[in-house]
Amino acid sequence: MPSKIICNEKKHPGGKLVKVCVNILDNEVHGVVLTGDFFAEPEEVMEEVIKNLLTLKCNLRELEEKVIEIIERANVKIIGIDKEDIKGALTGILSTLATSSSTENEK
Amino acid sequence: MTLRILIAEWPNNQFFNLAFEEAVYRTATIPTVRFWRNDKVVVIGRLQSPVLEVNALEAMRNNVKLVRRFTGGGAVYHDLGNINYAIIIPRTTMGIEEAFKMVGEIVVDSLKILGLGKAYYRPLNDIEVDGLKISGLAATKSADRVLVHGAMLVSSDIEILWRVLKISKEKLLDKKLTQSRVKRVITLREALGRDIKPEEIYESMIDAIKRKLKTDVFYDNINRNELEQAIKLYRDKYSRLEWNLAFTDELKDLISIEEYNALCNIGQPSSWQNKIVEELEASIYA
Repeated sequence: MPSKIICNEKKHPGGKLVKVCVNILDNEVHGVVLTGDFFAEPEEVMEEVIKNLLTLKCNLRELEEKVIEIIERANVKIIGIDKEDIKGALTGILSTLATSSSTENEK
Repeated sequence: MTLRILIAEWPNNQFFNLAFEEAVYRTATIPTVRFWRNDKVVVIGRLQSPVLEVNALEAMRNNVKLVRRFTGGGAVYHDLGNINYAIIIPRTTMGIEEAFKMVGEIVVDSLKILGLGKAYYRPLNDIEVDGLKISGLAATKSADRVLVHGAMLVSSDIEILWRVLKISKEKLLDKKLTQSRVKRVITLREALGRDIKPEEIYESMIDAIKRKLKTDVFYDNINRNELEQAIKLYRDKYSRLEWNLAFTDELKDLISIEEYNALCNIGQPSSWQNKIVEELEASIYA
């Protein structure tokens, strides 16, 4: 099965927007692209976090936990969005996947 | 405290304009304000992916370039009907949120000086008139300094702006403005009901800064140190696809080959733009 990229976004009420895209191959995560119009202090640390997420490999069950772990491990203050927004965007991706795989099963 | 005012711009080289902005941020020894303009370009935030923000084919058709800036925040469209301002404060521990508030209030005050009493600062980083955005801010900080810069719509081509930016559905829903997206922004010309020259806006902003920061100002020229730094940053960073198209290859499958090629086209300077920088460099050592 070829890999597919599924994206979702979450806007923090009155704040900024986070966009998450997950590359999925054989039901496994092969890279996460987490970008958006939020701010970070310091910005270069957040850039490193984003780069680390690009090469994240894990299974779908671990996705949320691994992403949050990589962000929390870095010493960075994210401004305009919070962890719940990121989790929300990831949950949306997982439910899209669940729906599409059940449709595939029905075929 | 004395504030250095710099009016320094290369509208025909959007990549160099951003390189120079970072050079001033890195080298400033005293508080500095820079005013400048860009010709047609989408400037994306440091933490954004071009694939998700820019309609590259539309941009290429309209001669619109693409540059990544060194501050976070969202994608904006610049043309000559837009003015940019940057405030750099060295030797401060001020955080980004505090700096946004300070500069947001300065911009609101300057708009009031120009006769636009209805302008207000909307945290985190917007200045609005009647719920419509007129100016947006972005910022970055390091251990000893902070920079806030912003763009103000004066008489920009709003039609092109909406065509070249990919607008997120979530954002539109949040602003409850799905029906009339063209009305999400307003230009200064429209808000004032008259034409206005950049110099008049710069003056009002300088007056507002003087009041807010209780400081004198002096007009200065660019110096050799910042120019050399800017040229280096241009060559190593801003003129390169590695910088402007970061976080692109990973999302390549989301766009067509044509759109990807268009991103590569708009995300680097044309050869005549590199020539502008070569001539600038030659002038330093002439």
